[in-house]
Amino acid sequence: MKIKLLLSASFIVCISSFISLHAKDKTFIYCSEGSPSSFNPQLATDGTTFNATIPVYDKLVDFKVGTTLVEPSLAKEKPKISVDGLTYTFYLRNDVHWHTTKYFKPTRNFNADDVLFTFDRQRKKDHPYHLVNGGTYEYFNSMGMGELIKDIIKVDDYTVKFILTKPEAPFLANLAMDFASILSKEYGDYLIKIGKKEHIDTEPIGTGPFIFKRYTKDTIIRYEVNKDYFEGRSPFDQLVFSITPDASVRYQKLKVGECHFAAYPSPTDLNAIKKDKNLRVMEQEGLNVGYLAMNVDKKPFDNRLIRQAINHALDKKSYITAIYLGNARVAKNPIPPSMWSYNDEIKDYEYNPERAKKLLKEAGYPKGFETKLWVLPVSRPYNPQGKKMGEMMQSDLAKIGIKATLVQYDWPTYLEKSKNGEHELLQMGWTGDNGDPDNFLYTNLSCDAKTGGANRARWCNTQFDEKLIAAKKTDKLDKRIVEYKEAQKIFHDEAPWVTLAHSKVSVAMSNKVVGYKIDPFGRDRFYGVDLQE
Amino acid sequence: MFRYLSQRIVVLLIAFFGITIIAFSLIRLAPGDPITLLLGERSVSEELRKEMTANLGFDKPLITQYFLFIYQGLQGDLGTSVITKRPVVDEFFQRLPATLELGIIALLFAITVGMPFGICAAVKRNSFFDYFTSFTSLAGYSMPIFWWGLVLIIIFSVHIHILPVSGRMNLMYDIEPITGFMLIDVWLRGEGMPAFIDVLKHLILPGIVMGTLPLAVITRMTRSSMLEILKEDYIRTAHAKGLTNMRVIGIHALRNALIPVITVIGLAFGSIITGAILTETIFSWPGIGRWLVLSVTQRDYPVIQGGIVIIASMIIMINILVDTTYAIVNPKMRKQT
Repeated sequence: MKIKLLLSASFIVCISSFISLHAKDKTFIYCSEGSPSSFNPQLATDGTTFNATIPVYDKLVDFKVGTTLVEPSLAKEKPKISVDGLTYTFYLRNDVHWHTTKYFKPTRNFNADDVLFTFDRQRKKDHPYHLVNGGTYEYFNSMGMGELIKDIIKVDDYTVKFILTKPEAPFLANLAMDFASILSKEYGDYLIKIGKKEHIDTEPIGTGPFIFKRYTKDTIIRYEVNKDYFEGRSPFDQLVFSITPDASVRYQKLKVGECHFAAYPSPTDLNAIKKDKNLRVMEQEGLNVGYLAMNVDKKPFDNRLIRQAINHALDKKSYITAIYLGNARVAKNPIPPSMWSYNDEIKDYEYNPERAKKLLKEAGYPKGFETKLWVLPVSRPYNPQGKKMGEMMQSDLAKIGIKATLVQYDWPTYLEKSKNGEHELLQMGWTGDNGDPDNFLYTNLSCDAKTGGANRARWCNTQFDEKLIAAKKTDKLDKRIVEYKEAQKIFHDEAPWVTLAHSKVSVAMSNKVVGYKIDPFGRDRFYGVDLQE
Repeated sequence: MFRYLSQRIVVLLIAFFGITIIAFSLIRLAPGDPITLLLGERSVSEELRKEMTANLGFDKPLITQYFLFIYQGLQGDLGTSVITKRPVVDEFFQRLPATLELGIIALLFAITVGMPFGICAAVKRNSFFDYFTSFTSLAGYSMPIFWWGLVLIIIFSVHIHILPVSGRMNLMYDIEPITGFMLIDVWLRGEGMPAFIDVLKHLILPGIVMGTLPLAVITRMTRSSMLEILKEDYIRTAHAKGLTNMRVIGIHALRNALIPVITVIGLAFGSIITGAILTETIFSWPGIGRWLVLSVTQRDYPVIQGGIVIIASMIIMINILVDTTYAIVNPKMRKQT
């Protein structure tokens, strides 16, 4: 009996000491959708990895939370840009501490050496870290940063100059992207000394609001608050990412209070979440566009009248209801409406099969023709159900005499073949990287992009290209707006795509969460967020 | 016995090399490469793409890549994941304990419930109990795993609140894995009984979901195997000798009925290592099934080929063990060879 009592007492003491030990900490739990591929955003292209690295790192400039506006972060102020647009001078903060962890204890603050270290690793083949852990830097390369940056000069410990090969107005927005997160040179040198270079991407040292503590594979990522954060301490002691791949399970965990915030709620759960009094949903138009590209290198899509006919033939409103479940709006331009320079004066091609038939007749195809329609094999925010949309398109096209056969490939094959221009009609889309119209228009529709393969319509229009290049060369916003608006007009008349939809981005959270601002790039940022008890 | 086993080992070794060739070549026959996937909708110049491919070592001739893979593999190096940039062997063995822990629990559940039910159904043939067992095992066999998992979560986690939704343990416990088996690590880290109970609670729902299919198969196999044996003359003789029912069934019948059941358990264990994808996804279980499937969709060549080779080796070992067990359980097999 005595032993039983003793055991029960020690059991209770054990539990209560455990509860009191952990109850002191204010912890925020985020149910994320997957495992990060690395803890260095320079090596990644996926949002999951970016979300996991955002708490740890800072950049010279960053997007103001919830907007696409660029503001200084590790730089004290916006850079000084030379008149020819080729030199950007950054003045750096001198009060930024590097994280102190179990695996590294810094001896100095952030300075210009770290900026050089970060960018040189990605652009210089002879840098000691260039080939560490793969060395492919997909984002840095696909944004053309390697060719764009001619040199980076350290003027003094807190001044850095970027010299460009050509004027490029979106350059500043590029520096606010995740691949431009600043890494510690001192940490890099230390890892070389102890012969563990590859740890730089798995055991991160940053300057951000949270310090990386531990990652248990496919299960949990733990961060501790950075008490010395230069913009002020976060109210949380701990930030935890609970990796939960299934959207329905994330919803159930949110419901029972096992997490405060859930990534990517399933569209089918949104109504139920909205009705739950303990939960809420935040929605915003995403920075994306879903489109149908018509390969102008192939007949009859080289004929503008055919492309316009297809624009009139597709009932886009019906796709919004059936495919996006109402969580999107019809697209009339290749850039989303929330983006500056959006040309709202353009009148979209109305759904009008009769007009489409007339255009086909005018183009010399009164009875229509046969073609192949490639359907998107993966679910993307800009097109969640490619096959279903393909079936609806097939039926719309049949009404004007175009017999479309649906073609399906797996995602890598789809990317590879469409890059080579093997398709005729192709579902594709784009999610913005830096909030600049150039990132939509030049990346997907320029003559350069045709050579690179990202221009899936393979449409190269000199007039359109000139507008985009003129807009790149000036940092005057008014002039850029004019150029982009005119470019959108040319795009509309030439109709290389059927612009389909701009989808909404949704997040689900507990009612206790305050201060969260939805990010137009789809990232989840928890600095500035709190829990209301 | 020695000849029997050595024959089996030679056959399995040939199979192993066949698997390395298939694992290596099949994924490379599919169009698209890791760089294309990492870039997604983006693109880079051809020159830059070649440089990126070379940095990953995929520019060498295929035959050279294969021999490098075998040569390094024999030294325990199965390459580095294109996605995580970590050694495949480390990635695999970090995930294996989670899969094994869940697999063992699932199999224990399937054996401890399935065998008694199968035996009783055979002994009470054509009774209500027999029909009930047949019906439930058929239902278990045809149950969609995803649906079954969500139903259990909604009942036990959301409505009754007695079991957690997913994961391996409560997030309040900050335990750094040592062995990777959480039931052991909680003791090694000195967290004690509350943490152990918490881990067990996290194992119940995924264990049931993962064990449902083997449970159905083991029940049906035990029942049919027992029915065959119970018709044999020596069973009638044992009854005629006046042995108790318990002794006849437990010693004479069960021992002989076990052979096909052991085969099924061996196969179930193999499928648990590879086929846990759905259970792992629903319950956010950090095992190897999901990891491998993701690697195929990401064209992560080193993970696909390395993962398949390790799993193939493990299944080969299990097969050798099963064959050895046959020989021990059934003396006839030893004599045949």
